[in-house]
This record gives sequence, C-alpha cells and structure tokens, in this order.
Amino acid sequence: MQEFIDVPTYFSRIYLVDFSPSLCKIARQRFSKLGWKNTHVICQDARLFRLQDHETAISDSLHFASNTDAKKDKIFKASLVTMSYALSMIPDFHSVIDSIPALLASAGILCVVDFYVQNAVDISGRNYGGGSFDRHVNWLGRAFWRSWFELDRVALEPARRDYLEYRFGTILNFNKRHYYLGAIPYYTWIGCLKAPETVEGKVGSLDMPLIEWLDATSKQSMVAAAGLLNLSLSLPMPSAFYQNHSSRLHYDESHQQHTQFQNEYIYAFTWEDPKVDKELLNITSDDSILAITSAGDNILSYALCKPRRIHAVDLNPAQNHLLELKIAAFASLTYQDTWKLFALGKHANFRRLLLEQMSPHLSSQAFQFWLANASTFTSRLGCGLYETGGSRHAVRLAKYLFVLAGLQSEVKLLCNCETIKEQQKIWYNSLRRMLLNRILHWTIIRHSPFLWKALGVPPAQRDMIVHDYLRKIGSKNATPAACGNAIWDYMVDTLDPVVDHSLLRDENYFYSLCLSGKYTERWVIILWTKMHY
Amino acid sequence: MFLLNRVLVFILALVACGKRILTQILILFGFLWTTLPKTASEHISPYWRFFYASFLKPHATVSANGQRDALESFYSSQADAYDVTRARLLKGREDMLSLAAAQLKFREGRKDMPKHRIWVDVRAPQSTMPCD
Repeated sequence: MQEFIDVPTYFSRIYLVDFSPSLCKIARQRFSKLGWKNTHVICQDARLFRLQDHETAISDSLHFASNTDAKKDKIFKASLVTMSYALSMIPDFHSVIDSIPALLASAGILCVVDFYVQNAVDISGRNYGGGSFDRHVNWLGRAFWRSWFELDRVALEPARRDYLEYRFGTILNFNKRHYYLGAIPYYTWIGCLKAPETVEGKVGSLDMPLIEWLDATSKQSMVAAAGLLNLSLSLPMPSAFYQNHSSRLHYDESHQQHTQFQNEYIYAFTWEDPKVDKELLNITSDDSILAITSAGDNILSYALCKPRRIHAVDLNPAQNHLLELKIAAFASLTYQDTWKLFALGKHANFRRLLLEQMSPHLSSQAFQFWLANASTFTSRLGCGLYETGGSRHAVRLAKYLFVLAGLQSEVKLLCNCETIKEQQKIWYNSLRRMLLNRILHWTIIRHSPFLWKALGVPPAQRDMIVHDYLRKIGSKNATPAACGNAIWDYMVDTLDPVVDHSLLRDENYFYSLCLSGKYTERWVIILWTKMHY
Repeated sequence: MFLLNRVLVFILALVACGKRILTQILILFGFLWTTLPKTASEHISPYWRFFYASFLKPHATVSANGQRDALESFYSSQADAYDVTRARLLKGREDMLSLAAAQLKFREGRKDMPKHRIWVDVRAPQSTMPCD
C-alpha cells in the first residue's frame, strides 16, 4: 500500500486483526522496524472485533481529558476495510461479513481479494453483481480447486462471495487467474454499504428521497424499475447506482441484443464530421442531445459546446465502455498519457493507469472490459487502438492490399499531400485500382457479414442503399446482381469525392487515421486546445 | 606378489595424477559445503519448509480449539518462510490495494467520509507481507 499512499500519514489508525499469534508477532516486529506508530495488531477472532472498544481505549489514553464521557459517545467508523485471502479461511463467514457494516463509514469501502470457484449458472439471474466477465470456472477447475484447497482448510465455495455481494453494494469487481500457479481462479471486489442513503447522493440531483423517485420513474424507466425491484427484495441495487459518477446507466447485460456483439466494439473511431454537425445543429446551453455513441468522439465534441445534457445511446455495450474510457482518461490522466492512448493508440503502462487513476471513473463492467483488453494498448506487436474492434477487418484489408501491391509509400504521400490536385493524381493513378476493385468487391465487400461486422452497416441500411440505387436506375427488381452493383456504386460515390473535395492532411482526419493508424500532432492540437489541461 | 605390486603402482599413479584433480574437487566440495546451506536458507529452505508444511507434515487436526490450533500447527513452522512464498503467490493483493487507494483519494472531499481515516485489515494467514 505504501506504493500508492503514504500509509503512516494518510491513516490516523490502522488495525490488523489476525487470529494466528505467530503471525501477529511477526507483524508487530515488522511495524516496529518500519517505525509506523499508527498501526495496532489485534490478535483476535474477527467475529469479535469491535472498533469502538479499541478506539475509545486509544483516545482515552491519548487525551487524558475530563470529557471522556463525550468520547465514549462518539461513533468511530473505518474508511477502509480489507480482507485479502482471508474470507476463504474464516469458518463462520456469515457473522464476520455481518459485523462489517457496523464498522464501515457510509462512504467507506470494503475490499476483498480471494480465491473462488463458481458456475455461471449461479449468477445468471443476478443484476447487482457488476458484470460477470470471466467469472465462470469450468467443472474440472471447480471440482479440483475446491477439493485441493479444502485439504488446507481453505473453503472456496461460491456462497462466500455471493453473501458478500448480497450484503454490500458492488462498486468494482473483476475475475482473473493465477496462471503461474496452475490457473487458480481469484477475484477482486470493491464495495460499499448497500443502504439507499449511500446511493441518494449519487443519483442525479434528487428533490425527493430515492425510494420515492424510483417509484415515480419506474414505469418509464427500466433502470428505475430494476432498482425498485431490488430494493423491495432487500437486494443491493444494481452496481451502476453505487458508482462515483451516475453517467453510466444500468443495463441488462445478459440480453441477447447486447450479447450479440460478443464483447467487442465495432468502431474505435467515429466517422461523422463534428464540424458539420456543429454548423447545422447550432448547439446552445439549453439543448439536450440524443446521439448514438459509436466511438464517443462525436459525443465529446458536442460536450465542448456545453449543452445541458447528452444522451449517448448504443446497442453495443462495448462502445459505451470505450466512451467511458475516454471520459475517464480526460478526467484523470495527464496530457502526455491521454495523447499516447488516443492519438497513438498505444501505451505501455496502460494497466497501471487503469488501476491507479482511471478506476474511480469507470463503471464495473467498463473496468472489467478494459482490464481484460489491456493488451489493446500495451501489446508491442499490435497496432494500437485504431486497429481493434470490428472495423479492424476493413482497415487491415486495405493495409494488406497496399502492402501486397507495394503501395505503402503512395499511401504516405496521399496523407501528406498539400493540394487536392496532387491527391487526385496519386489516387486515380494507383490506389484506386486496389480498393475499387471488382474482384475484391465480388468476393468480400458486397457481402452482408462483412458490411455489418467490419463496416458497421446493418442489414437495414444495406437494404436502403439497394433501394436508393434501384430508384436511381429506375428498376424495381432487387436481384443479387443489382444488390452487388448498388454497393459498388455506393463505394465509388463515397471514396471518389473524399479525394476530390477534401484534403486528407488538413481536413479529413477520418481517412488519414484509417490509412496510417494514428492521429498526427496537427489534429491533436486542434481538438485538445479546447479541452482545458 | 607381482600382481599386488602392479595394483599398488597403479593406485599410486592414480593418486599422483589425480591428486591435482582431487584437491580441486575437495576445494569445490568445501565451497559448496559452506555456501549451499547459506543460499538454501535464503532461497530454497523457505520453499522446502512450505512444501513440507503443506504436503508432508501431519497436522493437529483434532483439538479443543479447532481452527486456531490447526492454523498454528500449519503456520508456526513456516511463519518466517511465509513472506518469501506469499509475495510470489499473492499479486492480487497489490491490484486490490491500488484500486482501494484510487477510490479513497477520489472520495477524500466527501462529507460522509470521516476526517480521521481508519483502516481495518482482517487477516488470515494466507495474506501477504504485513508491512504494506
């Protein structure tokens, strides 16, 4: 902990409660060696530990005041309670967990890390766990690890974690494996008191108590209905209610409409030009905006105009995780780190930044997603953020085609052209033949799966393109040939004007990003001088 | 007699040539004899003690004080080795503490957060080094 916080000065008192006398002895020796005066080692059964007794004893001894009666009435609460690999070793875990709410301040946090085993079936109906990424342990793992640890009187059964999640509200949690020990499953869980009082302060600006608000809005809002149901069953609220920011709303992560994306975003960057949007929309501080999140770039550029509210909606939860990451980065990181993350798309220290700085700003599901996908930024062999997601198939396809044809230098020239005439020359002479290629089109591009997974064109939009084309040629027959031609026509109509009318270097960063894989300093300066640092 | 002579000569020759090699071996042996236990006590012995306590030592499982005695039986022999083994095994605690620190720092200004911060760490012997 000393690595993250200066322990002797940050905490006024630290209590170590341990049942084993020999380890208590070692702990005392260790602390006297370090010279930490604020640490007390209590050799006691955790079920019997009462903060009140120890705090009053210490404050009595420190202040020999006559108002000891006043001191005795004061309630002492802990800001932080931790249990690392302890819960699985305590036989009567119910009473220990039950004793913690009395110990914990209302804004205090409880942190647990421990081994576990669990079947995904146990948690399938649960909406308050804060995400279940990687939580499932296969039958062999469950049977083996549980029996193996039982030999040492360590109980890995799922009931311990379940009771913990029932008794407290979840803020963050994630599941991992200790691979160098044979892949022992372990989890880390951060939570707080589950009472509605801890939630009230965070759910927007409420003019009325939480329960009344939930009651009033539950008919219109799925989120409020879920919260109300949980309250009535004395379950904790969904973890979205306990987050530090109330911006991410609760959603049902097991619903097919969300799971169809298999935990992968399609867009790592957005294709709509915010400059044009701003000219057309003329956003003022009274406006409420409803927009599709996509990669979140547009949402952030609207935020620069300071509207009253922005509702960023997306069917794919991973896109919202990406937007949350961007917001967390702007809120907590330095300019250098944010530049490396979102301009270059690579950062070797991403995992540490995520844990130490961005975690308070992320919801539980977003945090799990990014911890599991940290290699997006940290991998040395990978090409960074902008070659991930569904759209990586399209970006890589273009990249490999150019490599095969030996046209990489032409691509670089195209991105650095100073006039449109030069651009047109390079495009029409060489690059156009590679991308607008009948064979490529016939084999890959015109097919629905590629359009949806790689370019984000859903079947409904594809049908619209076909319909427009048929109207253009004056035909009514949607034959396969006509559909293929419709897509071809659309591609030509999209790509040619890009080169004819916009300069990739200065105006059209969308295409130069796809071609080069990262933003250049030019664009960073334009967007970010507006964000205060 | 003749054979015995041959054998004796053979042995003497061996000794004469091998003397050099032998002295080298003895030096090496002496070196190992003094340093190996030292390295062992630092690096190998904690793991051996852990292995012994985990898999070989019979434990006092039947006793009036149950869990406490069982724990003591398990840990008293390896309490010193504890730090060395656990540091490798329990990296998860580091991640948890960094998350806890981040949350605490974020919550500093809140009204319902006590000004005198108290940290209670409920331990059981699997936990990592006490000095964090």
